[in-house]
Amino acid sequence: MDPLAELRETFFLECDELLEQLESDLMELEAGSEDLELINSAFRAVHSIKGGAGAFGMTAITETAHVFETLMDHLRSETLDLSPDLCVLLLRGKDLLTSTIDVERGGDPVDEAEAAAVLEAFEQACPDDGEDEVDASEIFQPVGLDLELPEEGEDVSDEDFLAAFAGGDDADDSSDAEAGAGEDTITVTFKPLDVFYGRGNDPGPFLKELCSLGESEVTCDTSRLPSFDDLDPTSAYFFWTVVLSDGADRMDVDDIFDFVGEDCDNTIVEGAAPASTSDDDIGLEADEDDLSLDDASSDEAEEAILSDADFDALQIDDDEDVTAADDETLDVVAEAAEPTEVEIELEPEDQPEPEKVSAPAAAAAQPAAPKAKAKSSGPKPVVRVELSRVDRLINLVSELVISQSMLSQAVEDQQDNSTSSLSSGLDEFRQLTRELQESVMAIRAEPVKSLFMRMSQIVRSTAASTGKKVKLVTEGDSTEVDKTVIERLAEPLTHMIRNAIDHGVESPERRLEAGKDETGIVHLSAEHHSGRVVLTVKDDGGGVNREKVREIAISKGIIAEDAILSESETDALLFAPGFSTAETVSQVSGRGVGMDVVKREINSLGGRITISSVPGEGSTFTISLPLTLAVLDGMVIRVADQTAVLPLSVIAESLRPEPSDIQNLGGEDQVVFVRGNFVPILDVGAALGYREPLETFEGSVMLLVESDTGSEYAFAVDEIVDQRQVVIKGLQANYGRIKGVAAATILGDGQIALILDVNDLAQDHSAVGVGAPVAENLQEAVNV
Amino acid sequence: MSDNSTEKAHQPMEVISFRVHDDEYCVNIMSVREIRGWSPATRLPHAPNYVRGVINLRGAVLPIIDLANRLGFELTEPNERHVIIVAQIEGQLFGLMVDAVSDIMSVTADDLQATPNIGSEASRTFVKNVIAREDQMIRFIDLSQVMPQGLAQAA
Repeated sequence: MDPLAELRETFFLECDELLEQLESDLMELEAGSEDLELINSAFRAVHSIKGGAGAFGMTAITETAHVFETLMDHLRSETLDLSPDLCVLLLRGKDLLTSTIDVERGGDPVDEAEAAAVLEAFEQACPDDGEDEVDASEIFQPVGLDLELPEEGEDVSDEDFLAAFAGGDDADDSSDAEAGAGEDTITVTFKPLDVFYGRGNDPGPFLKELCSLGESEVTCDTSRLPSFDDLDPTSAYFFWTVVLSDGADRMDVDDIFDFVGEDCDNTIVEGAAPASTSDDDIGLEADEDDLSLDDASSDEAEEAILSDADFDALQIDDDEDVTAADDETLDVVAEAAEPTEVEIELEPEDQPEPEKVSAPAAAAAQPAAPKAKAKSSGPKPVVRVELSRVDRLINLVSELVISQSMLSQAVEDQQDNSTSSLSSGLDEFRQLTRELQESVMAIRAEPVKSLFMRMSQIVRSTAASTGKKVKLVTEGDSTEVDKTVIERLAEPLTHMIRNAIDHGVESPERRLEAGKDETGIVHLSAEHHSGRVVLTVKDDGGGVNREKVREIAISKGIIAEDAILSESETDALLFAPGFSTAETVSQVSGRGVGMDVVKREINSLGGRITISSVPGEGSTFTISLPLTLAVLDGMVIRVADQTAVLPLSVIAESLRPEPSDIQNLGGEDQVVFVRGNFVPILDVGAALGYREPLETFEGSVMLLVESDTGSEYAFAVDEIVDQRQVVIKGLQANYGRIKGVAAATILGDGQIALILDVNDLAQDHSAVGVGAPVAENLQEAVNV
Repeated sequence: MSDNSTEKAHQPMEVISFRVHDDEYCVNIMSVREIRGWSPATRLPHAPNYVRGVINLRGAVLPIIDLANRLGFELTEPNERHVIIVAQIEGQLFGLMVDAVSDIMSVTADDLQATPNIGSEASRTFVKNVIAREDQMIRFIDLSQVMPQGLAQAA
């Protein structure tokens, strides 16, 4: 991967995190929290996205983020009150931002209409004229406009630059009187180094950003600009001093330079200037303006230095760095003006990187405050690790577990009485490896929160397109599940949520008729339950219309007309392949690939899905999933002298049938009679090609398994060895996919055992084996 | 593999030679990851005969190819004296079951002769070149041909 692509990837990862942060902040705000920090945090998230996108030239993101940010800024400065409607708008904005970012990632294009609507709504939501703050900012608009010039074209020549900024300076002059009188000022000296431009940065946007923080005053120092002949177009000659009054936040200033901190020699000084120094303050600025307009006459420069020094002396208190810089400044001043000039002349020729000792730098530089690493109390620190590394670790640990059990086995075999210290040591070893394994597995686990966040977006968009009012309530979003499980859950869950809204929740009118609140509630929850994670999707809609389900199932030939089904059996028909209840095929769901796809997906994750429904009160879908895809609860079996593993999740029961229970269905096919049902027998040994089909199943053990389609099979095996957790090893990488085999695992004796794919085997079996589709369907209908 | 040999036409190439069915074969040593003893393999369903199954190579699932059978000889009855050469081709790791490893030697492009244009299609598929060494013929195996082809799609 080339470095830029890698950076982009990192940026997108960051975007994901920031969007998550944004969403959770907005959700909390929507829930009625009035914590100003939430607004700040949301603002920072949008701002960081904008900054990052700007660095990659993703203008679409920058523009959207900018509009968003503007509105957030009004909220932050409290020129706008946060109303519930505004919250909804902000969430829509967040969705738009998400999809805009997705586009850059190669996702589907943004819905133009929605985008335009949201952006317009955002602009309307921003308060216009009439307010003091807005007026104040208007005064500064010339600065903003001028600064925009260099931002537009990347190849703006230095002359243009100069022109642009000289214009900016003039504008500043006019507003001089107002600026500097602020109580709470931050003085930023923005001093880009050569490398800043070398990396394609443009000071314009940074200055603009700074100006947007509040009442501001920008001065450009052109004193280091050499004569045209000496000009090196790749060098940095300008620096800017921005005085922010009006309570700008230090952290925001830091944020602006977050991406270029290393490429500039910036100084940021904050603090309320004591009232007595405010005169000096203005004086200083006047001096600096003179300095920048009238190109560095040395006398004036000296004056500037002096006033600067005064100012420094007055304003600075305790920082060592700062004091050092001051001393140097004073020293330089004490030594008279000559060195200053020398420095100025030398500057353009050799390395123009400003150092603190160099007089001009020190002259205009405000005291060098240490670059603040002020991090807000954000999320817990995290390490970003490539998944493959974690997988390797997991592999090694599972190896350790295996060799530990091999060792235990060997020791057990050697000695008859296990009272020695050896076996107690081994016990401890086993304990430790278990713990180690668990903690390693936990690395892969992540909270389902991100998934739930995505779902809330689905809820909003689906609700909008169906014209229903729906609210998503989530619970247990800190429940941790394996990352892979989470990723693969997104699609089925999306489908289920859409279904719940499209088919479950009624229209507002109908809800009111039924005496419910017009806003439907979709409840999404996750919890750990005896080694598995249980997700529920619950809606408070009309519940399953069983009459209709039955009708459709009959019309589609899924069940026979006279089939007698219990309520839960009827509900379970929703999962039957090709079943879709949507009256009209809507845009949202009901493309005929309904819940059966969801069910298949969940099954492939080793999970199960069930439905329960109460007419008029809603439906609940429950998904039970393994915590991780790396281990699996399995039944270790032996067949034809080979050891294999069947996933426990598909096994309903094990039985040792009486010979009389086994019936011939004609030919080679046999069925076993289990509690009133005839279940087809599948000879696992033969199905895997290990041996010829058995003549008789006498003495065989049968495992009753349920395939994806809901059909039951009796798997005939020679022996059940054990029931244990096995580590899943892929076969694909080194060999390829084998029919009937899902993966492999390594048993305690170091041998490999294959994990069987029940669906594959069953499908194979039914294709050649037991009977016509109708019979199958009937069977299925009875068995679901 | 083929790239390796053409690229380094004038550089000596190290090969590892081994015996299968009383004949000498060799493979490029760069493709060889390790050499280990035989251990019982777990059979794979629906696999060709020459795929003897899979073994556990420190946590990785390693398919074992009976090279003799792959080259058209009878199935080998594996015992503890058999050796497994663990090779890697394009990220795919597999083991070659051979009778014994004989030597490591250095060959140059000049030593490599084209496979004589006789014999079955099968042997020419697997034997890319031959090397004459001390009155013996050493067959240079094209490892990329050894694994069953098109498995990924076959499923």
